Amino acid sequence: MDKPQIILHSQKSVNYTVFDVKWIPTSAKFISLGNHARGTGALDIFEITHGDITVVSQNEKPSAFKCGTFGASPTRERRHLATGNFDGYIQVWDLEKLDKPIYSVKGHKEIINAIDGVGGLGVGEGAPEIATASRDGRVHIWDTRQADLPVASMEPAESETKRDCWSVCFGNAFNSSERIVGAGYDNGDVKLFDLRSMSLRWETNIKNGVCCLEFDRKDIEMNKLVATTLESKIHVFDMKTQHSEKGFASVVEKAHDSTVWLGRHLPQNRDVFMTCGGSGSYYLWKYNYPEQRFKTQTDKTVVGVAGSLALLQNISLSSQPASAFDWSLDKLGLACTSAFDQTVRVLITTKLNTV
Amino acid sequence: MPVIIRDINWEETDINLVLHIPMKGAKANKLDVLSSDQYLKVSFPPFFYEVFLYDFVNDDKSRIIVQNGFVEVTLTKQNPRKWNQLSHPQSENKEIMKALREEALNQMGLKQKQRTEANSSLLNANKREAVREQMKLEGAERNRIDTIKKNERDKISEEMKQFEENQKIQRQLAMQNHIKPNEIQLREENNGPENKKMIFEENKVIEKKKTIFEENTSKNVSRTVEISLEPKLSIPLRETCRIAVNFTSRVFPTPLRESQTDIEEQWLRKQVESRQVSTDLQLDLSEKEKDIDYLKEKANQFFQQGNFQSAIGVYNHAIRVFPKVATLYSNRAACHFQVRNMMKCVEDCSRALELLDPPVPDNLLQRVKAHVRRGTAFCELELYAEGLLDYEAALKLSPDDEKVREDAQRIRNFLEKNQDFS
Repeated sequence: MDKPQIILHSQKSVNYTVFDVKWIPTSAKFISLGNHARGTGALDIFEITHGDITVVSQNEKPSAFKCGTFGASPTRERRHLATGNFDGYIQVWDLEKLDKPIYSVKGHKEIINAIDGVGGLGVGEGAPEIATASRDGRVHIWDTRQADLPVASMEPAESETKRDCWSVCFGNAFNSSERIVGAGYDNGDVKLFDLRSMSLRWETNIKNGVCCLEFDRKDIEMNKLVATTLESKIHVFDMKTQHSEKGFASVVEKAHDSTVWLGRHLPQNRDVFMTCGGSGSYYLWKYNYPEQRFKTQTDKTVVGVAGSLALLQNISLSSQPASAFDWSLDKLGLACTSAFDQTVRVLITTKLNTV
Repeated sequence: MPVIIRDINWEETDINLVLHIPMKGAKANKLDVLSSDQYLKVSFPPFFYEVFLYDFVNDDKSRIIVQNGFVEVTLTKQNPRKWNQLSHPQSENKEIMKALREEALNQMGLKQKQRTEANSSLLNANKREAVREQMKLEGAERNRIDTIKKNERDKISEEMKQFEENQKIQRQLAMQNHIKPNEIQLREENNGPENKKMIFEENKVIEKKKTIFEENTSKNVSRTVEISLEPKLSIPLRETCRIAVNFTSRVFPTPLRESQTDIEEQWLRKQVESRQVSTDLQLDLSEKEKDIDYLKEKANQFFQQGNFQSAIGVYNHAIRVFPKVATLYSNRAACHFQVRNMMKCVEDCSRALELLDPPVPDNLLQRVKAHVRRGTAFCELELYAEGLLDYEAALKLSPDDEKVREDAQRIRNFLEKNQDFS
């Protein structure tokens, strides 16, 4: 009874497939992005009132949405939602005026699998930028001040056959010039690109397609990186110490007995994260640091030491995979999630302040 | 030979009757008693004593004690009165004695049964009690946990309500605050950075929420926010750059899974082997005739033209050079089918399926085609059961194929109809 409990606060059924849910910063509302059966995009706004989820507004757009982020929204009050859709378009919407996007570009030839934003919401320094990962194997970085062309792109080399890029994340943005973009591919590749030096910082292959990649915080020097993959594996890399040959130290955990679709860190505690599985289960983990985070080897090089993962709690909410999960920045333990059984749910995790 | 004891002593009161039977040196643990309401037999081998009592006694209340070399039997009379004699007058009658003995045995048996029944029913009752207690305890435990959970939930609903109300209050504050900064801007437009800072800070405090009728306030916000955006705009745009990426090589287009790596490797090795020209050929072949794609092209041309025999000829040659390429067998099977050579078609399909092992997603389509072709050939040969087997296999591999499903259903119906006749 002293463990954190994951409680289902409320749930709502919708009539489209939900691919992403995100809290609207500084409010008790969240948006859901999805795909109607007729192939059009759904962008709904929900609000939590009196222990129930009510629909505030429903919008239908010509093309189905796959992912979205508020990460590059200029302020917490003026919310700009950046979305990626099935046709490869990146669009930025002002939530006050949803009839037309304020920025739209056909950034990719195929579906945009993942999107991440940094530099917005008054958090971090540097220009607000959006990263998109697509099935055409490219990762593009966009700035809303530049139309049509990405400000940076990571594309397959001339002779390479492309691999699906499944996930992308920002990190290491502790001052206005440093940025790192992490990308996960379907052949198990994890690559880190340094945007300051415009080079590949590190790459590895974790033997299973990478479904989700997330740094524990975007706006600090990179500390930990969670990669969730097919075949129920969760990798946590310690990003403090990079060895020239061995790269970063990692700990691997097997859980969910199915594809682990998502890994999301708690905004209020960077060592706690939730993973969502293909069996509709949610596992809450805590990362414990080792005694010494690095050790010196015989040839005087320093190599990192990975810690261990402790499972705090788990719950199974549906039989379908969880497609999205988002912690609220304003209330500790509040989260919204969606699954492929066409429902959006609001969860509350208790006792996180004692973890 | 059991010895009857006759020299016993006995005493009586109105209620009780006491018999003293000498044990004559026999061991007490060999004592055996058979008693009923009117009959008593005490035996300790090799001695025994029996008596047909004068009147009835209460068998349940009788007691036996062994002490001082005597067996002391205390019997409680049913009718409290003095007997003056121990045995019944009819004691000497052998028949009656026999009957009595049997009766006594039966009574013992009955009593034994009753005792065991009583015991077992008591045991059952106890067990049931125990289970009920256990359930109660567990129920109590569950209730305790439920109440704790419910308390947590209620606490959280409270907190959520608080949270919502806070948001609402802040929204209202924001609405009120919007009027102030706007006025300040209009009045003090020339004040420069100080002014901007103040408005910027005010904006940080505001937590705004949009509703349809707040159009006015949204206009206000857009004006104030423009000012706050300036500090961000001063950061220069990144120079457009490109990084070339190399991927860990993977032959298959499907995502990498650890569990599939072994069979994928096996399949790749087989593909490589099959591509190698068979070296034990003595024939002197030209370059073209060793090129599998050229041969396939040629055969395909013949097939299109309807010249199936020539196509078969080309495939025969190709198979001699590349004996391990599954598609050659598969295509030759198609040719055999066209010339109605069903047995050969079946053989070629089977050979193709053998070569398409291990089953990876990469060769799925080829396997489905081979199964369907073989199934059709079986049906043409009127071997419908085998044909159905192949169709079902194809359906399992590719459950979305409607045509395969319909064909399988048709064969099933046909089979059922025919079975009714046979």
